Amino acid sequence: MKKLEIIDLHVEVNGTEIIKGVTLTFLPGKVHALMGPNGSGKSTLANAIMGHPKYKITKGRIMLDGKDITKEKANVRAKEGIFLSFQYPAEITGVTISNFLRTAVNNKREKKLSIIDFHNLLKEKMAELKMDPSFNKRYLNAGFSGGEKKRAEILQLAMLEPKYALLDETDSGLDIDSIKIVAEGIEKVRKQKAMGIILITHYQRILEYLTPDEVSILYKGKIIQQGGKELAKKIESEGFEGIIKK
Amino acid sequence: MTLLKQLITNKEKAKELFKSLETPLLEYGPGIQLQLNELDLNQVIAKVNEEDKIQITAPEGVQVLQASETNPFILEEHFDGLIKANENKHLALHYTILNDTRIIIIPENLTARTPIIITSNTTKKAKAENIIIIAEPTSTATIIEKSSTEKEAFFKSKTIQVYARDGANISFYSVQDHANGTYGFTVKRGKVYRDAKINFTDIILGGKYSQLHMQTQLICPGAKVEKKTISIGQNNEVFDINTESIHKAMHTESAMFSRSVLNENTRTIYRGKIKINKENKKCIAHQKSENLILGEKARCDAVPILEVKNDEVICSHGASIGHIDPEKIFYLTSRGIDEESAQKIIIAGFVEPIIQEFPEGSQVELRQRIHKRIGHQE
Repeated sequence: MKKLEIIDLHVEVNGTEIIKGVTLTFLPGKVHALMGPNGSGKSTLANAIMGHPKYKITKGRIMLDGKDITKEKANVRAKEGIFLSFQYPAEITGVTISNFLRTAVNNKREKKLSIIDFHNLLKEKMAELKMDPSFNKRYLNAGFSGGEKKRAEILQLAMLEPKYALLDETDSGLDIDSIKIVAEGIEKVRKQKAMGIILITHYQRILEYLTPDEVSILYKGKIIQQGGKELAKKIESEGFEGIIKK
Repeated sequence: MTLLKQLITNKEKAKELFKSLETPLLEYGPGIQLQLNELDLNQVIAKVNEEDKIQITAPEGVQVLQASETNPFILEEHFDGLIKANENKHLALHYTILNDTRIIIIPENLTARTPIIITSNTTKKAKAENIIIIAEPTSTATIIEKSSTEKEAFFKSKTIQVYARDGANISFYSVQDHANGTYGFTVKRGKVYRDAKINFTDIILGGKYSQLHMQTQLICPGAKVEKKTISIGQNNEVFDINTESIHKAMHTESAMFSRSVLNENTRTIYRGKIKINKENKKCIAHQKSENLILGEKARCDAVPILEVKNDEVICSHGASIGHIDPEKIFYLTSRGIDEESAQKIIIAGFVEPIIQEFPEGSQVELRQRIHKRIGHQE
């Protein structure tokens, strides 16, 4: 069966254990919201799944559609279909969005896109995300506003069409109109490509557009509660404190 | 004294100087002993092959002269006027073997429609060149200068002197692409008059040893200079970049910006100096040096110097030496790009802003050459 599984995962950063045995299953086409207070380990978990070398997996496994990818490098995981939308994407000066994406897209494809086909595809995806066409000439994330960075992340997602997308606080820094546009962009890939979504968020807002099938609460490196979309609503009314106390 | 005699006398003097001057050991950073005494002077002081001569194409209106055709009055005023044989051993050698001088005059009020292209490829053991650019008042021109050498070349030296008269605007782009056995020396001097501007952009791609010493004098109010330099080193190449802006008048502006990429065992020494005297207030001067170390044994020294004798100026300086940020590598690898390619994309990006400075028509070729050098495939 197709799924992204993390099994009893333990993750260390600079010698400190942050993730202390997490087991989760993410399914194609489903939205899985991962919530929790600041410092609970959400971003650490996302980075560890993507394969950041600084985040050391000391125990446990990551299985992608039945294949063990625990020891694979980030670029291999990306090629297998994992995508991370960064909370704070790196700024790469001197490299235009267009050039970078052409390299990334062609790198993933067996048959390379011609320059014209690539640009048509990019234009189409940018229009869907209501991005100015001149944006593709700008250097990747360099001098972007918070909102522009998030949109550029989702543009990459739309171009790369991963099997599973980790969205790390993609809604933060976006105004309400932008959240809607970005969420629609994500939804489109989910529906068309049965992309599984792991949505890391503090807020309820984006969940109005991306309805979670499952909600997991991470606290101090462990999953303390799981449920359906009603759990997210409960957090909104009671806060994390109410849930943690129980 | 006739011009020819004058030149011969200069040569003899220079030869004596070359023999008497000490071989320099660079003061800063990794000392390197230049093996200039290896040259057999009798062998290298010879007529230049036709194919090794400086080639110049210039748009209509621009005058290009060889030393022998030049009006002696122009020469007296300019030739050897700023750069002298007795300054150091290399310059003494330069003037000993100098046998290719060109003078480019951009007449008053002329706006050159297309760039002036200067190329020179060296196939013999040694070559010395002298280029004098005189931009008459309110003239505008773009100059692209390319220097290359073949593997036989041991010594290649250039003196370049640019005079930007009142209101003139000169953009001078240089690409140095030497074979890996060549010691390359470039001395550039600029004199900037009232409300005139010079932009110098230098790309240094190779050679055993590459020296670029630039000095610009801003001699009248409103004078401006911008200098941008990038070097990309491989193997055991050494780069010595020394750039100086001397503010000799009030209300003058200078900016110096350098970047270097250091692979393998490359060494780079960067020195940048801003000099403003007590009486020259209201000046603006900035400098920045950014160095990207890739090779484990690569070494870099960046020495920014400010000699500012009054408070009524705006000055800044900064230098950074570092490795590629691992977060940038992770970001690119998370998009499916392998680590080595990610590194090359980042280096290409580091160089790109300097390529963008070049006139549009020359960018594609230049980018291809640089990407080939850093091993980046698009």
